[in-house]
Amino acid sequence: MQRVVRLADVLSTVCGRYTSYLIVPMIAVIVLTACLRYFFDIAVDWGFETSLFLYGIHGFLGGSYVLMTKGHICVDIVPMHLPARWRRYLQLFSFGVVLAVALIMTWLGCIWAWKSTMIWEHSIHQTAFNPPIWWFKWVVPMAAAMVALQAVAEMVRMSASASEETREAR
Amino acid sequence: MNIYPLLMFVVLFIGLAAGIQVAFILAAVPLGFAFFIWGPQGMMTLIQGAWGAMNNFVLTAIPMFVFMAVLLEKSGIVEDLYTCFYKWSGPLRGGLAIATVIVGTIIGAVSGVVAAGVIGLGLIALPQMQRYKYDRGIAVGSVLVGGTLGQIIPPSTNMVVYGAVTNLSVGKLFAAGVSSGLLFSLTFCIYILIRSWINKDLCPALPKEARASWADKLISLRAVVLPALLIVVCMGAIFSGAATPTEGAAFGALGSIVFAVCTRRFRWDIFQECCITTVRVTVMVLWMIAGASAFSAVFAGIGGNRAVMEFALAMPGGKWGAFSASFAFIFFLGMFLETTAIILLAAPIVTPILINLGFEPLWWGIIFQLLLQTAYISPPFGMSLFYLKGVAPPDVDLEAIFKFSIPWIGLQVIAIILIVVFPVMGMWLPWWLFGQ
Repeated sequence: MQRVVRLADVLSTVCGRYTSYLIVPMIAVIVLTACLRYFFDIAVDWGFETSLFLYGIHGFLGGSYVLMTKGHICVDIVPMHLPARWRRYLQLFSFGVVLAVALIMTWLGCIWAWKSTMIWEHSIHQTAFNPPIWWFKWVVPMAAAMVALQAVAEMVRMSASASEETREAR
Repeated sequence: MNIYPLLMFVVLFIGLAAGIQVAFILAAVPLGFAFFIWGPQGMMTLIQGAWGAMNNFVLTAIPMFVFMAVLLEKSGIVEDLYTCFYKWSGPLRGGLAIATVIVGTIIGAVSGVVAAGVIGLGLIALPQMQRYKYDRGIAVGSVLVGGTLGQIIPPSTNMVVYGAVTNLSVGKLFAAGVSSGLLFSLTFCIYILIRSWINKDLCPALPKEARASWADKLISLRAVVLPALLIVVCMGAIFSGAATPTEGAAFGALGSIVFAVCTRRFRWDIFQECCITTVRVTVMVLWMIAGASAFSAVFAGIGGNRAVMEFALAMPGGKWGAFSASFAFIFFLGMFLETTAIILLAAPIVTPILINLGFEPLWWGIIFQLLLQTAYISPPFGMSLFYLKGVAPPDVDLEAIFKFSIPWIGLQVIAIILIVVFPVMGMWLPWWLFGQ
């Protein structure tokens, strides 16, 4: 089980770190497109979709990293006032919900992205660039699968720390 | 009567209270309801929500505005500006608190992230005001409201989200943010002046030896040049229509890199930290939008919007009754929920109703944003209160911060009501720029 935790953590960290750098090409593409259009009157047809691709990858693939580092916000009024054991149950339940959502999203996402791949789907945005987008759809199930893995890891980590605490209490 | 829509909200609030991450409970509720009402096919709404969020060009402005804010904060912009205005505020009673509000206003104009302003001012301005024996309530309050101005003074990530959800022009919203943000800022300054004029020991003027000379004052203005340039270029491009908000954001982010390099504060580790903070905020917002779009799609699909509409029309007092109910609803949500979540939950339901009743979309949009501004500082869960607690001296506890925030919430409500009654007070800039 510890291996799952390690694998999830490494995967999330690496993914979070590298996708975070995508902000740089995102800025570059948009600045370049705008400059070319405004100062040189050159219309760049790939700027719009490229920045959307970068943004989508940036925002979705970081999901498991943010779950690991507790970056998804939650309202912890009630849990704060509960005894430690109940708080732990609630947290386990909450990661259970995350896991369920992520699994459903992975499953539905795969079907949806597979359909798109079968027809080599191209962009709906009607630009001259018209890039293929079937690969972009795979970002959703991939990100969701990683969140599911990380949710399992968090649950394992929590029950491990819980059993340690009870051992110490004895 | 159709009870499913109500039930959706009940389940959502139970889940939120149980401490489930907002993004995932927002996704889980529509998944459940869609499955039981429409069968497995209905669950595709979540995927559609995610896909819609990934393909929304307006939203791409968010990571760039966040990056800009974090990099500017890390390169010490708050400190620079405060040093400058601190020197100018010398002989004035309450001057330091006013300097705090003014610096907050300027920070707000280069940063769309509230945390940057509150934390920066909390670290820099609060100790100064304590040293010169300022009243706690004024000191803490001015940092709270000054730092939070970043939410209403553009660029603002929340306005980007609101624009994306309600199809309102983000540029116009930004313009309205400038004029109503200035009204807020002015209200705060007048309040500080009046309080310190009535009671001269409340916020004493600086002692003679601590005041800066004229030469010093003029030299300190150097610190304002670069941020001012950034504001003019970034906002000017958006307001003149030369650039979309997303392009303005990209130029702003580039400008913040230039600023960091020019002030010799650009370091690799700072850059990495900025990237990480940016991805954290972007991810949080994007996943929440994915969940919330599914939520509002299912809510509308099972007749929720119609039910709310009927309820609103049955309100006593006609359209102003519906307006007051929406106002109270958002204020109430603001006490408990994070601001992006409030937009995503309330805007798709409330906004179309009010527009149908004949209210101006832009005007209502800005009232909505101003209410969120208040949400940031209203106990028990205003985010700014917690940001400030994180950096305040240890003897300022959370309860004290809660208590200090109350008069300032009152001030904000007064300012909002002013804009409700006299729209021109908050809308003169967009009306002047784009016509009424």
